[in-house]
Amino acid sequence: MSATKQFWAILRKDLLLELRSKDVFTSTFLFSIMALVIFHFAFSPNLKDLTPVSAGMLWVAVLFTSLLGLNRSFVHEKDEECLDGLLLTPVDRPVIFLAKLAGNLIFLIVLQVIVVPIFALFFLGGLTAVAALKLAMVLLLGDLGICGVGTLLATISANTRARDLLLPILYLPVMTPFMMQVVSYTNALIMGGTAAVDMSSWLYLIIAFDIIFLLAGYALYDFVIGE
Amino acid sequence: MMKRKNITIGLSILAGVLLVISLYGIFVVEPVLPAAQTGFSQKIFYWHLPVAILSFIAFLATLVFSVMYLIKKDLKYDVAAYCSAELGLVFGVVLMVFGMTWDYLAWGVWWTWDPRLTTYLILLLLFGAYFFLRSMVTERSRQATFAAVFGIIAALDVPVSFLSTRLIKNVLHPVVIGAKDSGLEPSMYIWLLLSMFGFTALYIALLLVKIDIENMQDSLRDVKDAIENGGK
Amino acid sequence: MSTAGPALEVRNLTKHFGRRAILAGIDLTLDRGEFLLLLGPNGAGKTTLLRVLATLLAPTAGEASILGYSLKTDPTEIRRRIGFISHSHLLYRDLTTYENLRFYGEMYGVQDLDNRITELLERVELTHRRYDTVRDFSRGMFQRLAIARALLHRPELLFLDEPQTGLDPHAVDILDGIIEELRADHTFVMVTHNLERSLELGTKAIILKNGRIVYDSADRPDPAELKATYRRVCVSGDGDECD
Repeated sequence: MSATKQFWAILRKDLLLELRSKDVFTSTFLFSIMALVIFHFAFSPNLKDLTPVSAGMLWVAVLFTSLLGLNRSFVHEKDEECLDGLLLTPVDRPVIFLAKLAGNLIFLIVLQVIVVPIFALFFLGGLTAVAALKLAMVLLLGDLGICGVGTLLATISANTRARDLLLPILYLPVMTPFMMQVVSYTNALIMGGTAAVDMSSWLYLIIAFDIIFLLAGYALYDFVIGE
Repeated sequence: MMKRKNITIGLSILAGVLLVISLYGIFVVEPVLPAAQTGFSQKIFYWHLPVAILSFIAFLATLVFSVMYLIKKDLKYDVAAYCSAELGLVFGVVLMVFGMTWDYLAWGVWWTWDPRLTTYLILLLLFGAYFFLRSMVTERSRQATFAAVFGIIAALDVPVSFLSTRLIKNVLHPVVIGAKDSGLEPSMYIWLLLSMFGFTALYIALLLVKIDIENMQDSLRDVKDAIENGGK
Repeated sequence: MSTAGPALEVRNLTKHFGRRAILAGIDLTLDRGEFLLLLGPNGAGKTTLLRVLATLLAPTAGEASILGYSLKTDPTEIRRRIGFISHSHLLYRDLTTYENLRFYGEMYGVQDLDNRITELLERVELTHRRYDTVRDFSRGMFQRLAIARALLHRPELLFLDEPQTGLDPHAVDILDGIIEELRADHTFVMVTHNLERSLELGTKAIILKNGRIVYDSADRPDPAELKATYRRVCVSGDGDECD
């Protein structure tokens, strides 16, 4: 019971801090829109129709914007050694992980609610309701994996000399195989029935990744946070 | 200590002898395969496969030592994990060179995004990140913990990433062992095994030497610290 | 709710950073209600000892029980009962005074939180800043709020790491007043450089050097003896500063 209360206390605090300094949200929002625009000009010389590469563009944009958000999620704690204050309270370490994870997840979802419709408008010319629902599902599954590993790696990198410089180096190679799955699935979704492969095998792999990433993050967080 | 030194020397000699014999077998005893089975370039295979297996063993050892470190919090496991990762990286780079050469000779391309090559590239990037992470933390126990945690995540990523790449597309890479028509004569297995044992001996010898070097460097650092602090 | 046993019981406590020993075997017992002064030159390991006892750092070896709870097996129980005032104020700059205290109060599960916050803010004279973000606070105001934060959950044992550093006289008065009020039924461990000021408070003093206890007063320290030892330890040769 007290763990639930503590979870909400941390989450509420993080969201409050985020709301108060809207800078991260604004910058990540602008960043993702700019990324989409740049993708358009990078690919359009050779491609009349950008639909075949749009899944990749979407996920690259998500991946890079998530980096900005993840880096931020620990800056408040390191600012005034607030992490010490948090660690001094009688809270189980996994609760901190889950609360931070939830904060990052909410951040990404809110961002996507705004950015993904713009993306669909730019590159897909709209979506059917079923495709939109499926897209929302794969985005959510993708976000879970991103935040599971991302929260752990962001905690590590925040505690090193390099700080925000280190996170992409650790995070991108870990995420690459996961990205292959979400991009393949999203691509098949966008291209309709044209993809020959059975989509469900990708979905299973995405879910497998999610489970592994979340469990690993949960189990290993205790070691990282105390150091 | 003396005994350990002897083991290292013994293993090094063994590795040398085995690998020279295997070279003799590969180039003198075995005939060149017909062009349909990729001809002369196929000879890379005898060393390619053992190096591949050993680089995996090296990374697997890093995983095991990392878990051991987190459980026991004894820095000697961290040193072992780090040394093994470094060897894995060396073997991995050698493997890439072998593989790309073979690809080129057999199929006329240096690089394809086939599952194994891609998985391997990701693996090498992961361990590149592992060393970068280590260099970014000065405090020794924190360095060991972070490296162990990342090492575990990286190692978990590998099997799934292999599965992923397979699922996406499977192009050039031959599935050799276990396939029905692998094109391997029984005599070829002997040379393959000889190189396998040779490289295993080499790996263990190098690991032991590397661990000794790391430990010596640590002791040296302690002595330096003590001198700087004026023997306080 | 309290358990039996002394406030601190430390046996052969060791902390290595890498291969370097910062604490090289600390033995220490402190009864409840005492006021321990922790003295020593820079780099002696005072802050490290405090952080280990406050469960922020895991010891490399050795045992410690705090208020009857084992450092190894019951850190959460210890955290419930200790307060820590460190160099940093541990407050979130973009939150208001009230939000900071509410966050920490919820983390500790403080009963009747709003009244407790009101009461503490009055005590540290920050009531008028209750709904202001703390970003623009002066150093003294930060430190006063940090004191309120550390006392929120009514800790039995208080760790103070050079609490007077950087405080304006007014804040020092408030801090002294609070310590005076709490002395009767609380245990204190205070790291300090300011021997003159703290001598009257201490019921026991130890001097740390190179991770070892080089002086243990065992009882209420004799001021002259303590001062002499302190000077000797700190000045011995290699230019360590005590103050």
